[in-house]
Amino acid sequence: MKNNEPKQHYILMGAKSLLPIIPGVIPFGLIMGTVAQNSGLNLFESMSLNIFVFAGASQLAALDLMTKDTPAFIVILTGLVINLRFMMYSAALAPIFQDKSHFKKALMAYSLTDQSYAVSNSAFPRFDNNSQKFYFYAGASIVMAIAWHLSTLAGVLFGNFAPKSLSLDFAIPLAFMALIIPSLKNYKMISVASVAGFCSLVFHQMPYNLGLMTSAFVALLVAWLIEKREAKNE
Amino acid sequence: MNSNYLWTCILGLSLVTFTIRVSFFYLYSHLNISKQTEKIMGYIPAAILPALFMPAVFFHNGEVGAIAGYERLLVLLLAALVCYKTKNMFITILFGLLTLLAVTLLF
Repeated sequence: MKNNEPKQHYILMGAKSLLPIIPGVIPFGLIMGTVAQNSGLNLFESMSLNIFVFAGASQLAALDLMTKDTPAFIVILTGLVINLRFMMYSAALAPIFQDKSHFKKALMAYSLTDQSYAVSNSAFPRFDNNSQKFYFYAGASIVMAIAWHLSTLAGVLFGNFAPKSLSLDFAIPLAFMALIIPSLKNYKMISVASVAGFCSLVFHQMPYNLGLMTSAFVALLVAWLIEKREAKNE
Repeated sequence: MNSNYLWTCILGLSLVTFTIRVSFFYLYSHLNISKQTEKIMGYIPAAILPALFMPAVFFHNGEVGAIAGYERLLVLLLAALVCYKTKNMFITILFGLLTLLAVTLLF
């Protein structure tokens, strides 16, 4: 991006980049809304959970625990572990928010998701400066937020419309898989992803979903070793 | 569900999640991130996303139990190929769901 276009240009770029991802978000939102209803939450409670937390994977896990009367602090702890990955996203994105107001930091932090991060992460190499990246990310986040909240609302209102045999919940792993495939362009990325996937199977019995973060750390360790070896060979 | 319990969970989850998300936006200026660290950060999605979906696919012992319970894994692998070829999420998900449906109806 050599030209300095007005910020709307980058916001639109970001928004457009999220559009192809929406087919993956909608089933997820529908299921979220349905599960919330089936867990005994009313419309207001379901949407509140969705709007306040805005993190699907942890919401599903939390609902599951809540229906089993799990102590609140364990529900929250499990959510913390599942969402700890956002800390990594936060660290990676931090540079573009350096000079931004508290309000903008808060708003952009609130809307940090796997989808807006993945899409931004792959697009950032194209940009020169943090301002362009910021507006791109903002555009992507807005579209993601709208898609997610509307899908969940639809799930709450019209949920349970699909028979179990359709296995709509399979759309969630499919969507996450589709998010990562495009970035597996070289053996390094494939190796790290494979390690993460393999470890998640090995550690899946760990309590409080700790297997997720453990797998991520092992995979990043492998990434570090790969980069270290490459640096040595130069 | 008890209302107080539910709202304690909702508010606790949102506070914790928001704090995690905003953490580095404020911590960053106090840290010096090396080139090496930045490179590693590029691997973050690859290190996390597979861990998010693999257990659910590999260990799925739900209502559908064709092909020794591993039908979801097989369909996912096929869908991964479709994804790689078409680079289109809509087609990928449609293919995945339809294929899984077909497999469960056939086996």
